[in-house]
Amino acid sequence: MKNRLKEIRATKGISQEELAEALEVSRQTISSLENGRYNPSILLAFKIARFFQMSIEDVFIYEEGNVDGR
Amino acid sequence: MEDKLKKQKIKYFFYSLFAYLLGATIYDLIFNYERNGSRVIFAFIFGFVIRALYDLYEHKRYPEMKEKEKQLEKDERLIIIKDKAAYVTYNITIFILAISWIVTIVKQNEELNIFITVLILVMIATMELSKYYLSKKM
Repeated sequence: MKNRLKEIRATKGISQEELAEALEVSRQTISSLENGRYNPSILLAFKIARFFQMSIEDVFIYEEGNVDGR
Repeated sequence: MEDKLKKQKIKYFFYSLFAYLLGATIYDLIFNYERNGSRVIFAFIFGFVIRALYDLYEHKRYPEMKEKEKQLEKDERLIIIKDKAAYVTYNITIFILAISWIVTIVKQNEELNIFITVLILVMIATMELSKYYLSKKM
């Protein structure tokens, strides 16, 4: 699963630290999400989408045929 | 903040080690190097008390650090990492115990063999019961 988190965060001018604080996760989690090393739970995906006032599909891009989503 | 927390954890580790060694030294000075087992227990309790007092002091001094620590405990990625690390540790422990079990058979040490067998069975039973409980819960 790909995501546009880095791009959206940069557009909004928010640092990783600030986003991590708002979502109540670690900065490393944000970094891993942005690099595609980690796929979030549906709950965290919703939290991220809500934070940016977008839908999940606007932030995360599901790719067919990739079993673990990476 | 997270970097500060990492540094603090390293500091805590060395602080606990120092407290343990201090406890052992105090015991030696009071009881003149007698009873090795009691020394370990005394040093452990002394280290634990000193560490608890230091934790309390740090909590009063930097309340925001404790808040961050609590927040990080809920971080789903860190929880997954901890779970995977625990599973790997479990498998390695079982493997080491299995090797020890074979060694006790070769060396014909029956008491140790029974002890290791029980240990392995308890570990496997605990793992299976945990899996059963969690599968019912989720």
